[in-house]
Amino acid sequence: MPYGIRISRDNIDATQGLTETNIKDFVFVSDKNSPKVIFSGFISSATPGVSFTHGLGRVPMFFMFSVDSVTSPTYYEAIGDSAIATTTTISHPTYSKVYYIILQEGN
Amino acid sequence: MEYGIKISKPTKDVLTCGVKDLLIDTSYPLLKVKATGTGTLSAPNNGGDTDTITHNLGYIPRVLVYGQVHELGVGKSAYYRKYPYIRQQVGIYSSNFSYDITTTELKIYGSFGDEGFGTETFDYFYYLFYDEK
Repeated sequence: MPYGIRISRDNIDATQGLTETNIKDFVFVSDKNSPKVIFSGFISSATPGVSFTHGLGRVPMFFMFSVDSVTSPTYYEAIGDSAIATTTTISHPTYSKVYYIILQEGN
Repeated sequence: MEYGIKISKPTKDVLTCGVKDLLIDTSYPLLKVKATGTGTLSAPNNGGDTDTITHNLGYIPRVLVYGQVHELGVGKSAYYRKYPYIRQQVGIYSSNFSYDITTTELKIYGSFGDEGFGTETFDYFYYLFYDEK
């Protein structure tokens, strides 16, 4: 690579050549893609069920958490396997307060 | 850490703000994508299907898998869920979409048993990272 950034973990030589097995020893290498957060935030609804329109035209990777408050939450419960993603929205059919993270990457 | 990069959000002082106000902080490793791909599982009722992706990293890497599932009593979903997705009803009906990861392979599998349904196909996609689990 003629240019870019590589940052290694402590006590790892950042100038060494990259191999398939030593990339894990780097904190960041611009040679490789890293997931990028495109949307994150809270959603609430007066009735069960929430939805966020991302409009990406593809199904993104995402994470969703149930919360007790959208202003000062005291817990986050992972509910990703019961959340639903399409090419336009992420949603949950029953929870009414959630925190979501949507990544640029997906399919 | 003696070296690295920190970039803060607008109006935040990069030297004093907390981690949540940093857009980049190389004190923490970023996930690095090794491979990504798509596939389709074809599972008969009361049976399953498995796809194998070889990575040969020699350690167990992090992975994220999303795909369609069988909704009990409904059928194949048009939408995607995050795997693993495991549901069971009255000990008879089940829907299981998940993955196993070893030091050499990622196995993505799906199976279901649900009265009145035939073979279904389920699309999925995965991201496999260089980062160790």
